Amino acid sequence: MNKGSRIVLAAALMSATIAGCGGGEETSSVTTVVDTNQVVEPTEPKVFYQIPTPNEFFSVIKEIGGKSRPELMNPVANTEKYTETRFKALNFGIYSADLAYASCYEIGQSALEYFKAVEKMGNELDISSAFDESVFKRIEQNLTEGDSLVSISNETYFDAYNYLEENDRGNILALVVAGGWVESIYVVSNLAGPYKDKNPLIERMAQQGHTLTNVIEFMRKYNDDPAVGMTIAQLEEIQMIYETLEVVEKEITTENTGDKLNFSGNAEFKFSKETYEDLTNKVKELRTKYVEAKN
Amino acid sequence: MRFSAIILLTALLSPVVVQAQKCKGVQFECTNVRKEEGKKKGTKGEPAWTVTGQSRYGNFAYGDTTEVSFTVFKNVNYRISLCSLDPQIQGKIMFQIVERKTQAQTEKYMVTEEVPKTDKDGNILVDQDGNPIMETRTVEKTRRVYGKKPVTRYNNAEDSNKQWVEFTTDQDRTLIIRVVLPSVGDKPKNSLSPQGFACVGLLIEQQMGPQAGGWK
Repeated sequence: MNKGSRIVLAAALMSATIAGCGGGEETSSVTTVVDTNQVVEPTEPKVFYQIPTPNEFFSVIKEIGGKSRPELMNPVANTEKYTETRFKALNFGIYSADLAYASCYEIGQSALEYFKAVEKMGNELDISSAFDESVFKRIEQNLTEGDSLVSISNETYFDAYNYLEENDRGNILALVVAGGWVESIYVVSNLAGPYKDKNPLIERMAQQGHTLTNVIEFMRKYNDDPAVGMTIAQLEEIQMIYETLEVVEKEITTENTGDKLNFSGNAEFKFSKETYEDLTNKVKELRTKYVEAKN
Repeated sequence: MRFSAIILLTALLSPVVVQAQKCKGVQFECTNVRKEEGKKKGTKGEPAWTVTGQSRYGNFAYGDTTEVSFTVFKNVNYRISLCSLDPQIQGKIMFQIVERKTQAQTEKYMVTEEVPKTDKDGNILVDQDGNPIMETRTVEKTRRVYGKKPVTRYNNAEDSNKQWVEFTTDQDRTLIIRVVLPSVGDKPKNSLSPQGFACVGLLIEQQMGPQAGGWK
């Protein structure tokens, strides 16, 4: 390859990084270019893995049960413990999930404290510019308005998520997402309590293996980062428990009711007492490691 | 030479960077596309639709296929919309909603185990201290595994190429949106040209359904 071609190829690779307006993911279509003289068609479609925000999850959970139990959240005082980047990022996710929980369950004063904790972790991760200072005022003005707090905390999460993606800090984002998922499941398992057949919260937890798979697949892009690799291995231990759940297979059907489709059927996952206890213990163990900043 | 290389790089990259910046947030344009397609406004008192964090935007080459895997929750209404500001593909984006069907299968596998050695009558053999003598044996076992077979839930090609769809689901599940951009002429040989790409938005909105207790 001559020097001119090398420059063009370098430009191709650099533009692949920049052209992805949402961060590293969108670059995939661009990186299919391997030389300046030919265009290689992708053989397999690139898959992007999306994860619901903690707010989306808690909004659904709130409709089926649970109550406000502020003691379940990671104490704000723990922010002082996090000196390693890995734990800052994981606990940024944990505090974001706590903020979502506090907002959905209308624990107004906690929402303000937890926003400050999220902001502190954000500053330490150098993503403070993702936050809008007016948010504090808006939270203070809406301490008794659950719906407004939900949208404010959702915006905060979006802003941080987009900022990390757009600034090519996907490794930090991967840890944030992992921390958020672990905390959400930890809180819900505590709201659900001990195993009981037909407990709607436990039934919903059984389906969260879907979300966990997407979390892990999303994180794999950043597997080269040792902190991300270690966290994936820990989440895979939870995934293995999900794989042991009883599966009730149902016929897949799609009903068209005019304006809307109804999707039903496919596998439904069910906990037994043992698998539920295995899962809640493993989640608790992992969550304790994260909030105590232990590998 | 180094200076001229920088100039060349800048010249090559600038249209791409501009293209990337223009793309940001394009998914929010999808609401306008729906209006043009004649989607009625929501009825009074109906819960609001909210944008989920699973929405995406990005630049893709014409003719490319990409997939977005996302999670939906039971008894929540969802609306998926695709849009682009590129007039060449506006209203022509093809998409499907696919789900992987979980199917139980029996799988055989070999496992190597350390087991106590026995004589021909099945009695465990022990050493001089009375401990069982172990031997390594490879045995065949079976286990239940779950395969994943893709099933197409919706194909907009069979629905007048509509650029949006609404659905609800009876359980939490993972769905895949497969997006196919139409091929618009030939791809330029030098794909650094931003003309070879289109900015596409995928908007995923949700509305708490009546069963979830959201109609208040």
